[in-house]
Amino acid sequence: MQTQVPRFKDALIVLGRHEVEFIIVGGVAAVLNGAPIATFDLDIVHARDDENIQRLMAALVELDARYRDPAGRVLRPEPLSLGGTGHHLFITTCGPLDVLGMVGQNEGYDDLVVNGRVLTIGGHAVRVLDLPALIRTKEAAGRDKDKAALPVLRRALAEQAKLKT
Amino acid sequence: MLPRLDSPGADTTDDDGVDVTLIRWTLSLDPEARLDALQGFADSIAALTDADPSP
Repeated sequence: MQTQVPRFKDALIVLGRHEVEFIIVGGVAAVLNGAPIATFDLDIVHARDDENIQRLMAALVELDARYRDPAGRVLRPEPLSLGGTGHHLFITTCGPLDVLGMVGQNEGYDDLVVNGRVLTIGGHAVRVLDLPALIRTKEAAGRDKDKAALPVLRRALAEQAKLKT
Repeated sequence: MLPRLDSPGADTTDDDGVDVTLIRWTLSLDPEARLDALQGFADSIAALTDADPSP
């Protein structure tokens, strides 16, 4: 299995430079929203229109993305598969990058972006799923690892609400 | 023997065991600083792994 230390900001800068439309979900979204979660991969949900797939492909080429293949094969991303709803788990020069067609209850980019916050990271505007929506997608996923994160996410949301009052 | 005292931080976790002080600290940072903290964590783990290559 290939290893590479994650460089979250650098990955986001490459995606931003190629003007990829995406929203950050998962652990990095939790951290950006103020929830102290440990993670090593960057999870994004991308817009799946043809133009964005081309921009995403260009970014993935720059990042030297290949699938995290247990058999050690070098499998490169393909535009056709990135247009689908599946999950693409890549290793890149900036660490693990999970490119997800849909998450939760079959929610794609267009469904999630309404619950996105725009933050400036490394000089680029990036969309990040907000905490209520992140909690909803984790609840919908229902896997043990998603359930394990819920107490921290819910408490972070409560603390965030206190700060706003 | 010295009297046993509760830690002054005994009430820092909620009923689920979540460390509220850690959340408040994270929320005190701006988003980019939060990402930097996560990056620091990942770098530290990588440095430890490099120091001890056992699986």
